Amino acid sequence: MERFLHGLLQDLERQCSTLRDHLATIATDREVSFYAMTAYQKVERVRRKTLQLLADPDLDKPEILPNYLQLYKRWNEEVRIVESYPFPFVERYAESDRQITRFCQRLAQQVGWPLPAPLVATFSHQYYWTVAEFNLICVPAIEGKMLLSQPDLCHELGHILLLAYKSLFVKEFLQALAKYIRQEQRRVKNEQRPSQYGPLYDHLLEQWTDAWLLEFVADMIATYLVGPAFGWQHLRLCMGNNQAIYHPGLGDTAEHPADEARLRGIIAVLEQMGALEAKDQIRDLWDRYLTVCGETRPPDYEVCYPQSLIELLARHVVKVCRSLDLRGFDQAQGFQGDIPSLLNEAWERFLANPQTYADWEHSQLEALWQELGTNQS
Amino acid sequence: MSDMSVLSHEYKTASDLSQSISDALITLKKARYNVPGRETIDAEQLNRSRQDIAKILTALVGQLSHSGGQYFEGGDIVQIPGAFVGRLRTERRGDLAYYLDDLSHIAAQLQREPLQLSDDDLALLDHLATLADAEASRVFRRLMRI
Repeated sequence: MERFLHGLLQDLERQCSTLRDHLATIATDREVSFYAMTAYQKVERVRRKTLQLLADPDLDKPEILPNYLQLYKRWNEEVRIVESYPFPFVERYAESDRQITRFCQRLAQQVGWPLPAPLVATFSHQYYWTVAEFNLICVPAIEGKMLLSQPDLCHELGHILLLAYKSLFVKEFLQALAKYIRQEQRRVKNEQRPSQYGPLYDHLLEQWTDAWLLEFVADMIATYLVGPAFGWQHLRLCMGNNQAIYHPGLGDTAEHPADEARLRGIIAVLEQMGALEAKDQIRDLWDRYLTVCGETRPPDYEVCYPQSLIELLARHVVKVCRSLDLRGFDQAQGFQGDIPSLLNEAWERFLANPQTYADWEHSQLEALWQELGTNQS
Repeated sequence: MSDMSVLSHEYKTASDLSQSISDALITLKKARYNVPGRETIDAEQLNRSRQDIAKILTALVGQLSHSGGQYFEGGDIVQIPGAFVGRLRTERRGDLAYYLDDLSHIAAQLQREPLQLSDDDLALLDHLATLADAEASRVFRRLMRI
């Protein structure tokens, strides 16, 4: 076993060298060089740690072997991640990526983004996603350039901001969440609830801490940045796929919280920031959608997403965003070329007249790409 | 919007925890056992490893007992995946109170001079390392769709 691990480490070192050398030869396009360098440094760190471990005189000690093997797995995973994400982003960076990257840079500059603007690629087959650790966002090839769906780019920005300032965003809320779960567990102990609810609450806490909280915060940051446009886009997304509105409920497992609860999170931020009219309009259309689709709220649904917790989180996210000097949609200047204003105008025009919208969007995008210095429409 | 964003975040949390435990355990074991690499460990490195594990244990006790306030130490975030805590809770359902005592005892031992960790203490820490390793591998496979 020790000998095999030694061989695996040598193999990993060789793979790191190959990947590192590939990254070093990628053309020094100024928009990707920083990301290529970040990936290079990551791989080189793993390579050096691997060499250090190969020289460790205790590598063959059976008491420590399991821990060395664990480290090998993590390092191997890190290299696979660099190979799967940053590497194709920088190696295949094309004109269509440049367009949306510059769009994102412009947005970041306008809202006072406290981090480097991410690199955005347009080859996603899984809608919008980010690998926040590497400051990368991937968007669908066509939809990723439509104004109506751009609020979802802000959701991914939200994930990146959250990773960078995680303690600020989640510390206070996690304490409130733990308190809420304790209260619910007490109800089980006091026999106000059947005993089988105990493990369900434990699972609920896991779901919130590992996944749902991240999604709610990313939604709320996006709403903070572009306001009603994100709410309208959420409705568009819900109506365009067949995910059940109230899923996941108590005992279910999913990376995303229920669409209904997410909408309440968006509404809570809009309310917090004073967009009362837009909030009512979004809520009204949502209620009509619920009637049409005829889904019913499952038992114990509200236990998963208490309104008080959602409102607490919304207040907190707005407060943290303000403390980071991020410009909220309520402070948008409305000048020509202001992206949050443009996204809201797009939604207003689409809602007012979907027939004439396409022409308007086309002309706006033409002008925008020209202004951003990219040559593809 | 897709699961990717959350999974990449979850993976980082799980991987960081696994590496922190494994790294620190290697140092503690080198100090404990009479191995050739023991001489390469300086006092600062040993102290850092003790602090790292103690913080993780304290945060874990907080999460296992739902006290919430234990998620953080001195303003730092000690991130422990909820799924990791859930597995441990299920595993120790029958003797959770004793297990919490054991974790707190080891956290206290790690702060004391001279360092005295028993074989049982190390076995418990090794079990945590194994669980953290399994959790990181599980999320990685989902992230990479393996």
